[in-house]
Amino acid sequence: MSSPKIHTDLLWDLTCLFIGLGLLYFVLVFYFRNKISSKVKQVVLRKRELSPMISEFLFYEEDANKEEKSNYITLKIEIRELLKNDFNRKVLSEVLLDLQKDVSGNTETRLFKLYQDLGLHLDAYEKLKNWRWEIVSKGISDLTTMQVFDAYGFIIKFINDKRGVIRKQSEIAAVTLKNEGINYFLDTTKYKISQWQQLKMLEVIRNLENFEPPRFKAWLTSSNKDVVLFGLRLIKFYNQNDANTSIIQLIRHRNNNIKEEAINCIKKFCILEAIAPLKLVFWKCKTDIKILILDTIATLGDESDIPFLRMVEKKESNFVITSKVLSTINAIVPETILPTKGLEVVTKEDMVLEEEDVLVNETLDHKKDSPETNTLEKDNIEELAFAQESEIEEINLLEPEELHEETSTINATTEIDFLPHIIADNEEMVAIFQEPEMEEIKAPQAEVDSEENVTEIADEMSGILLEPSEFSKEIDTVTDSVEMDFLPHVIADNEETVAISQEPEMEETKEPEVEVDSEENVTEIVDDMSRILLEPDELSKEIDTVIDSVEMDFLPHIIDDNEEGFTIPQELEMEEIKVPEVKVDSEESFIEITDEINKVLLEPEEINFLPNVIEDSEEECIVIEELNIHTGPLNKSSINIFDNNFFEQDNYNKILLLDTLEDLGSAKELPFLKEIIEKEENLAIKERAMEILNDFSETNYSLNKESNVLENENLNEGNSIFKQLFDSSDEESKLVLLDQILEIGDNKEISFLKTLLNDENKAIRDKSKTVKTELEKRNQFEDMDNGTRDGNKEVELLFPLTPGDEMDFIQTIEYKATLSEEKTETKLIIDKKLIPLEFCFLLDKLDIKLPKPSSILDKDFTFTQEFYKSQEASYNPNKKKK
Amino acid sequence: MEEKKQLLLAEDDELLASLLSYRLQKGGYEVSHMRDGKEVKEHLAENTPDIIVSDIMMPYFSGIELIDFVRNELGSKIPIIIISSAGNEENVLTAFELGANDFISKPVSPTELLVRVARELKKV
Repeated sequence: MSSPKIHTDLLWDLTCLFIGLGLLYFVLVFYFRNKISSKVKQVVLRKRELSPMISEFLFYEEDANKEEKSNYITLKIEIRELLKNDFNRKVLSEVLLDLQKDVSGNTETRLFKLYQDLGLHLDAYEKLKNWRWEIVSKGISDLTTMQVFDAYGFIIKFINDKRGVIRKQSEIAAVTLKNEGINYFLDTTKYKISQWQQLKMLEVIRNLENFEPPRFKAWLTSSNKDVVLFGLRLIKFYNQNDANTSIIQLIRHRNNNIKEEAINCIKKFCILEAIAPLKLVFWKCKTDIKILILDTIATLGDESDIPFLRMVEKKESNFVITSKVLSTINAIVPETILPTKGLEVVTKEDMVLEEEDVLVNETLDHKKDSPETNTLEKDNIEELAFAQESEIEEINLLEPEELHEETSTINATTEIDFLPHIIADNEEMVAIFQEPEMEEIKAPQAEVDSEENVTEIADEMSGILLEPSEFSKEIDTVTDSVEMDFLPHVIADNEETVAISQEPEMEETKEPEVEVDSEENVTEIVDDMSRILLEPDELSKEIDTVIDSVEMDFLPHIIDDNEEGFTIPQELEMEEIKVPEVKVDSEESFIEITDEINKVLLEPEEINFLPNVIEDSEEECIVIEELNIHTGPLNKSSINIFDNNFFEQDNYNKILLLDTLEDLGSAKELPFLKEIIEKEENLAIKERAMEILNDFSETNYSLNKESNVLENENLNEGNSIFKQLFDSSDEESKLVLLDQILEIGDNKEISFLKTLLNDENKAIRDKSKTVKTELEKRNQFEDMDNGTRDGNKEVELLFPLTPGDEMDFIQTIEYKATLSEEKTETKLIIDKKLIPLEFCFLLDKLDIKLPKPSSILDKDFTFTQEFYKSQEASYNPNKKKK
Repeated sequence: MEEKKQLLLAEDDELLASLLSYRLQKGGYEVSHMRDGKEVKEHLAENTPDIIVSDIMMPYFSGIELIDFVRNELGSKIPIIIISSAGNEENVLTAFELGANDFISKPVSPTELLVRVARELKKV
């Protein structure tokens, strides 16, 4: 093969061509570069030449001297000559336009004038005729910059020019050169007005001197939506609040920008009547608009808008909107919506928690032996500790006086609330201890730091607590046959974290027929219980054995809830009673308390002074109210004292009802109270009803305790001997009869007199009223005297002493009573300085004047404990029976 | 005949400098126009003007540096009026911290500048 022949001549030809092109390129580059440079240099030089001339023209003053004037004229002639050259005209125009940027004030004005004086604006006019858009635009810009107002007419025709740059330049020029230019522009423009253009025009308008903005509401009806939008913005900028109706209409505009701007106007001008339309359009708006509407409602709305906001909150799925709704509600009604999410469970009183943590940690050490307890989480323990601590703290906050009141209440209404509430949860093990009665009853509670005694019990109980699900079936079987109401409820929750004890049956206190002789015995019982629960195989046998000998009322109710595990406590009645709490810091104190408890068990009337002992364990919140733990012997009969010492539930409810009646009732309840007095067997309830009856009624009622019959005029209503006579008499005779009633009548006549208060005859009516009043006064005085005669030498008080008041009463007052045996009248002599205030009121009410104490007949005495016990017995009939 | 006060005008914009020079000269001052910071430095090495009017933004040597040079290196208490663009607040504050006596913002009113110069010179 032979290699192809290369024509070297051709190569040389090509080389020469490219070299020539390269040279041409560089020549052209240098040529144009030099041309431009020279031109720039010429411009600079010409500017340097012209600038002093321009300065001379700008700062020429009419009062200049002749020399200056001649110079000025010379310069004028010179510049006219220069202006004949287009280049010079162009340079001069550039100089003036540049200077316009750097100077202000009077110099600027002179500059504009010089521009026109030199006829440079004519060049700009010429540019407007050019076909090239950039030159036309430059011409418009020059005329606008140099404020050639006469050019306005030439420029506005470009407002609807197809070329965007010219159009925008002309828009600016129209607005700049004439104050009315904005009107023309808004009227005539057909094209879109960009946001930037609106801003620029707004900036121009702001800087216009002597600009009086037109009422922009006129353009809210424009077919150009950008004009409407710009109009709204101008309305907002110039605070033209005379277009409210149009603005309200525009919130229904399809264009979101217009809608948004209208809402902004509504918010700014506080157009309250727009709230309703805003609510209407809300549902069709986009998210941004919805938020804007909500923001406006937050500003302008009131509480009447809350339902709408609630509805939005329910219906809207968008998180942003729902959040805004909540903030809007809070803006209208502050603090309506409170933060609920992301809150720490335990935030209160860190110091207390820290102390409790120490306790919990100590208990944890004990619990490590038990494998089941290891499943517990520390957080849950803290919650439990907090729950306990809160209870303890609340109780501690009680003042001694409150404690006294509470204990006195318990005296009358004590229930057996002291059994432990046991809550077990195998997975989460968070047992929130909710014992409403613990808060209210204020049974003395003791926090036992020396855990040796109570921890033993708790350890035993933990066996029961930790595996409740295994025994639920067994227990169900047992509960069918045995009354289990007495014992605490055990709630097991394997999934959820909250288990709340339920003890509705606690109200129906059953009598536990178990001999519990000592603390050891208690432990034995617990052992038995745990054995029963832990060994379900033996359960049935155990149960059979127990049923034969013991009523199993004390066994815990075990509720196994594997799904929800959240049970609402139902211990309404127990919320009313409070028990004071005592902290026990040592074992000795604990033993003292148990001694007290034992004593109280033997003396049930003092039960209210006893503490409840709380034992804190790590996982479970176990409250052991140690009333069932005592060191001394306790037989079956001693347990019965609970029944004797407290109202049964029905009676307790009745007492509560009567208390409520006393607080809230009126004379309308008189028939009901009478019915209670007639039908009720319980004497204490009868007396309570009697008290309320007397409070509501003007008539003094009394109760015949022997016959349990209510004695008053109302019951003997038809027995008035005057009634028949009265019915058959004329008016004068009736008036005479009324006088006779006053003289010889008694309580029986009062009800008859009451009927006469509605008599047709005014004279009889008035007379009856007077007689009735006098008769009642007299009877009240007699009743009081009669009352003092009863009960041998003991004074029966006109008002009953409540058990809680007894001790205070003894300590604070001293009675002196004089019993007159001859007149069978008992005079109560009371040192007014010492008697209670209510007694003074009562004496005043009855119009009783205390006689001066007779040294001969005075007999000093004080109320003894026996008296108070007898009083107390009247409140508790069961005890009386005992 | 009263001697004219010497005024150093440091401005890189020749048109504006020419206009201001003309006005200041007409106002009775002997104006030395410098186009950049270097010239100013050289001029100050040899001359001591009665007042300095300087733009902040200049080539090589800004107005701020000029103030610092005059106050700290030269240790001179010559009144200094600075010319700054509108909205250049930070530079103005810095200038005042360094010892500027007054400032005037662009666009400049030559008449106003004249009044300010006269006022500063009266203080000296």
